[in-house]
Amino acid sequence: MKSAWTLRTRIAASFIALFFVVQVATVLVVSLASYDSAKLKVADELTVARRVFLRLLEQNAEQRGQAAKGLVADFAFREAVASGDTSTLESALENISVRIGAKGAVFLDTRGDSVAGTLGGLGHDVPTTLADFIQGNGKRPLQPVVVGGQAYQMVPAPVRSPVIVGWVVLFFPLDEAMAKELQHLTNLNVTFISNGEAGPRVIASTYRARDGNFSILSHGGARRQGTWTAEMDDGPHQGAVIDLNQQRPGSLICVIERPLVPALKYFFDVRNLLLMLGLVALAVLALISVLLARGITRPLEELLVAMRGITRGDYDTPLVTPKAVGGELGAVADGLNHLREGIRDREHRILSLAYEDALTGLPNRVRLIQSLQSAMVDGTGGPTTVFVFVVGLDRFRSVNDVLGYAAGDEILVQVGSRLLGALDGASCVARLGGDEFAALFAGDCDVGAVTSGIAGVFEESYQTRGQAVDVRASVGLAQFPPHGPTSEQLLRQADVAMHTAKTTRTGFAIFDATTDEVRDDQLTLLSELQRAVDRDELEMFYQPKLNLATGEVTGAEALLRWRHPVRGRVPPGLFIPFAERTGYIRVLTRWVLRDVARQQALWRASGLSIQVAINLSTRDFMSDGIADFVSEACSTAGIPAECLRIEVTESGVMDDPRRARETLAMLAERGHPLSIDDYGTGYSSLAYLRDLPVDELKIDRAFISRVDADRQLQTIVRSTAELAHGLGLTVVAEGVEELGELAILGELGCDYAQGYLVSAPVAAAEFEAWVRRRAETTPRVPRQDGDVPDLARVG
Amino acid sequence: MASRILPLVVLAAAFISRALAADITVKVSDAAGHPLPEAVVYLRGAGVAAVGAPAQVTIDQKNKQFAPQISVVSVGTAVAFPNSDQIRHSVYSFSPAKPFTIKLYAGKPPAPVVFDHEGIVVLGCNIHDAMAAWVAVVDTPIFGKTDSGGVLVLHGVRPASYELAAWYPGMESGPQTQTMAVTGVDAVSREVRLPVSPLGNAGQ
Repeated sequence: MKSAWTLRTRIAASFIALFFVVQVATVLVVSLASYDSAKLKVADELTVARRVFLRLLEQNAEQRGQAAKGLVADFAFREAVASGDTSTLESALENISVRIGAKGAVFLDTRGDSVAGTLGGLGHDVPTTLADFIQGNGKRPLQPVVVGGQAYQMVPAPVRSPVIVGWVVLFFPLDEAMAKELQHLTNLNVTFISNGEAGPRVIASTYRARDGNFSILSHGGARRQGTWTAEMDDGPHQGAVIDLNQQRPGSLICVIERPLVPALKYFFDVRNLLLMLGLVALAVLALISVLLARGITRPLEELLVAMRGITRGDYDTPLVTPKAVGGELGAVADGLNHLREGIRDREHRILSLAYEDALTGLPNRVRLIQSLQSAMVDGTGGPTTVFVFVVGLDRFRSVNDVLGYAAGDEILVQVGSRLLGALDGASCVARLGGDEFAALFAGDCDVGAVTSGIAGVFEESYQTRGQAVDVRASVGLAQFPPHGPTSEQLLRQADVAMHTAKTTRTGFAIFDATTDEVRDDQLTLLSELQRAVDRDELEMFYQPKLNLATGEVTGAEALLRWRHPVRGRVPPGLFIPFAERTGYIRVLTRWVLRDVARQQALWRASGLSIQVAINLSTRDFMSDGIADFVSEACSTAGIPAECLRIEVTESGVMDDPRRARETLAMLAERGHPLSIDDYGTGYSSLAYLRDLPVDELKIDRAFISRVDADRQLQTIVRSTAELAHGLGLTVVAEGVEELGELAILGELGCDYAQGYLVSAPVAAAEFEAWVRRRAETTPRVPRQDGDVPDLARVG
Repeated sequence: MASRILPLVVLAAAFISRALAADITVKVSDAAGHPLPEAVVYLRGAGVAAVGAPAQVTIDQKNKQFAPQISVVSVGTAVAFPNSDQIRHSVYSFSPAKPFTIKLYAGKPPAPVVFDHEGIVVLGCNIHDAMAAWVAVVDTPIFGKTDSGGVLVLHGVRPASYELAAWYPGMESGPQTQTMAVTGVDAVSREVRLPVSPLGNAGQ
């Protein structure tokens, strides 16, 4: 769980917290209420006890008063009173005290003067109290007093004879027996305390003198007024003070009290029960809350787990719909399932798009690189060899141009399926894009078998919209580990090799590290190329064209060479395509035109008449004003237009036939002889060429190489030459490297031969020397059939 | 003896009234100011003394009460205590002026009691505490009790200087007195207010 407060916890906690608050409030309210009521009950008990106590005193007084009345009504007693004899009266009073159970008695006359008494040493207060009482004619109540350290309840009885002639006052002690009786009636502790000049003093108590509470009461516990609660020796007590003598407040009080704990026992029992019930209920509720919350959140958690699975990319595990919950969560689960399936399908499609070529259904470049990487990594046990073949279709653009892209696509699909069928040993056959395919072989690989397998794919023509189309391809090979440590590099180098194969028209090339170094520095190449023009690093080389009939050299092809100060000789195959891509070729072409025209002028001045051909790249060829510039170069150098032959490749013409025709027309108009270069590699037909103002056809080296041994090639060359002648064109064979080839060319109808066998391209001075030397040594003889020009001196 | 004195008194009174005598009207009220019946009023003066034996006075006992409750007699008067109730009574007095006891009796007691000393004598019954009676024994012939209107008229009082005394039960320290001069035949009127409340049906 991400947070400590999950939904489950929150739900459960909310329930528990709510219940806890309610429970606490309930316990609190009930506790407070019952505590208050318990205290009130105790207070009520005290109030009742106070009334009972006072009533009891009153009742005692009444009963004793009645008894006393009877005793003092005795005639003999009255006679004793009337006799005025103190000793007699005192003895009579003593007699009465004994009979009624009083501690003592006094007789007072109607003025309140004490006449006789058995209670010796009356306190100072007593006569005053009694005088007040008697002067009030006995109407005022007689309140208890303290006499000689003892508290008494005074009970008066009038002596009548028959009118009141005096009062007998009987003294009943408020002693421990009295306190015990009160305790018995009220269930309260009773203590009588006097407050004299010497301070409070316990007169009588239900406590024993050594009881802690006794000493507490005797030391000021008595000073409290009304109802009170106080901490006593054995806990809190609640009590009340009854002032027994209101004429002298506080002089004699009675403390009634009881411990609170037994009184509150019921309350504490109820509170404890409540607390216990609350705890039990809380526990039960917590359990229920947790279960309930889990009931709600468990399906959610399941959904969450499933969603995390989806987030991780696990789209194949279906969500289990929590049926137990159903309803909304079930709907959510169903929704998630749909979502998951949707994502899975879409991702599948996206992956297909990402790793599959939409047109051919083959793996694409990305997938190929992945396979390549895994193939390279697999070699843990030892050195693994991986072969990457890149197959690039030659001049496929023409197919698109002529037949349309739909047809081109059809052919690409067929190429793909044929490749797949032919290379069943490949761990991956992919389309890299455009007209390029690739095949991957891991471990042992018979390179020859593979190349021939690929060649077989292109042997049969392709059928599209009822037309048969011949397709050729160039193959490049790069090998791991020697050709590169990374998959990207490996693939790129196979591509380089393929391009090399294409440029060199060899059909197959293995990556050459030395070639690649230049490519590596292509970025700096541009600036270096610009410098090359300024620093005079460029140079024109010339390759002679041998007239097969006469053995003369009357023409040459001018080829650009770059002598790099550091790299040395840079092959044109490396910087020319680069210059074409960057547009710098225009600069180069102009330089070439000027240089060749200048050279021509020099040669002409020196009496050397050589027709020089220069190649116009497709890009140059298609640019505006090229014809004007060519003318301008010639006129500047002061050479006639027919001295400068212009060669354009067959594929260059076929890229944009309409425009090619226009440009060629303009050049022809200015008097430049025109050649079609690399004939046979494009898709032109001679019928088409017939309409062009060209006068020369240069058959591609692919048809010339080993033509002496291949009858099929011989047929092609012968028929081509025948047709060309028929159209009024001269025929040049390119790339002649073997004597056998040269020997048969004349027979096959070629007019000129060009190639290493005749001469490699050489610098202008060398060329001039070569031509002059040859002119001196070679007699101008008519060509004989079967003759082979003497080439031994070419060197 | 009383039969001999009475004609003399009547004679003397007739003489004085004819010669120089006045009627004295005394109006007595209680503490609350209401007319007080049965109050004892008498005059004392130099040369005025009880003479002869007055007629016998009777204090009956009816319905467990003395009747009358208040009596005024001159010194030497004999009082009879007949018992009209069907129950017995025992009349006693602890008063210093005349302590005596008549043991339980019914009907007529053997002899009347002679009150021979001046003073207030309180009478009770030994077995009925509620019974009480007062006898004011005065040393003068001029006395009487107020009527139901609280008024007493003393006829034919000859001119002299007198002490007018008034008493009612509850006055422990004795009668309330004032001086009064009788000059001629002019009637004299006095009002006396006593600090007492009237006795109820029951004695105090």
